[in-house]
Amino acid sequence: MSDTRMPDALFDAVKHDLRPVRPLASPARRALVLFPVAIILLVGMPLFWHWQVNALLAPRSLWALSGVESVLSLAVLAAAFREAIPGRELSTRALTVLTFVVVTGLLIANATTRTESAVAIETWTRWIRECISMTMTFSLPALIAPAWLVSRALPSRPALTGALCGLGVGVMADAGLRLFCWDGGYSHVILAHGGAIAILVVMGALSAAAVERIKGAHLICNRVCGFKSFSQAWRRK
Amino acid sequence: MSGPSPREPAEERRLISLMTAYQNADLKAFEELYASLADDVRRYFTRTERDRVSIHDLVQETFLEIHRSRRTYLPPLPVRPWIFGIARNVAARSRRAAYLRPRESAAFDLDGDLPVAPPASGMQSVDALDIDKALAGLPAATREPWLLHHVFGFSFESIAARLGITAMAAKLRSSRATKALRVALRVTVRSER
Repeated sequence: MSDTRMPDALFDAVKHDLRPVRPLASPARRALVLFPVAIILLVGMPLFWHWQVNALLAPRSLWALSGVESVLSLAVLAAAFREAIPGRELSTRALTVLTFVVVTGLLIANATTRTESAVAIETWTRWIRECISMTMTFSLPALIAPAWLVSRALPSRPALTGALCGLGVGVMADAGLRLFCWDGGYSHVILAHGGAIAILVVMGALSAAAVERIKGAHLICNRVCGFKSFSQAWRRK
Repeated sequence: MSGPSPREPAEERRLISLMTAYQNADLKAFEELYASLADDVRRYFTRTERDRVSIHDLVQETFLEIHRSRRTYLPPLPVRPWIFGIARNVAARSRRAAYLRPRESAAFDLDGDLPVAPPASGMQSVDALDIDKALAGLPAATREPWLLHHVFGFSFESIAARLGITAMAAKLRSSRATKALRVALRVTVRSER
């Protein structure tokens, strides 16, 4: 069974494509690259809303709590980047702890600033729609950056990695959303804010699985990762 | 996942330095990595695959993926978990490809007449039946790419797409089939003398 002689085809393929590469940065460092995105979501969403309907900006104490939420979202994204590296997958316990911390953090952040409004059912549903659409408008472009960073690695569980990315971006968006949301009721927070995060989690999982499937179809991977010379070497043979 | 094997830290340190050298484009380091890890990777695949050809292909595919993804290795982390993480990824892709593979390309009817060219003058005559027999003796995994390329004239890229494997795997399988056919047909011709 022991055969440690390398096949010629493999040797030639590697030889034709060999060039120095710089290892990826650590997951935490790559998450920090997304700090500007977190700031844009944290500040951009309330400012946009303020500009659109001339609403009052939230008090300082709320901004501080949203800042904590943004930091939490960067931690989730760092976990996603770690999950994307072969052999560094998160254990079930780590995932459980992470999920617990995120859910608790979200609940605390939203519950401490609870300002329930008694409104008609039509208004209530409109606010849910507005919160979800606002989150999607800002988050979907923001989801591209972590998705790209994940696609540079090789996740063994792409759906989970994508879901973590979606969760990270969702929490990031919630940090900005809660600063101008008029309804702090539990039902609104769970349905609108939690719903938007859940949609992002599902979208992240689906898109990561799709990207991984495309990469699995090979040769496309050569283009994505910049390995043009590899396929060219094969075409020459 | 096999995880890190209970070897001495010295061996792990050697692998780390080889991997770092390989990231700096040292071909010799890749050869040494292959020599050190190919058997372990092969053992990993024998747990899920029975066909030797498929196992061989998966090992090659894993080392190709290692090459493509070499930047995802973060020194000085242990090399083995990274390698087996990639092997698991390759195994998952292979399972998915096998599941998605269209049924019509799964098997070829060897009972039908195969187009066999008449022997050129001065060449040893090989009976169509010998070729049929030799082809039937090949494992399906190598026979299909060979037939598709040499008989039906498909390119390796289209064979790869058809069978749900990579072009390199198709090429490897076809070349392995050619070698096996050469051996088989030489034996047949000799036995006729």
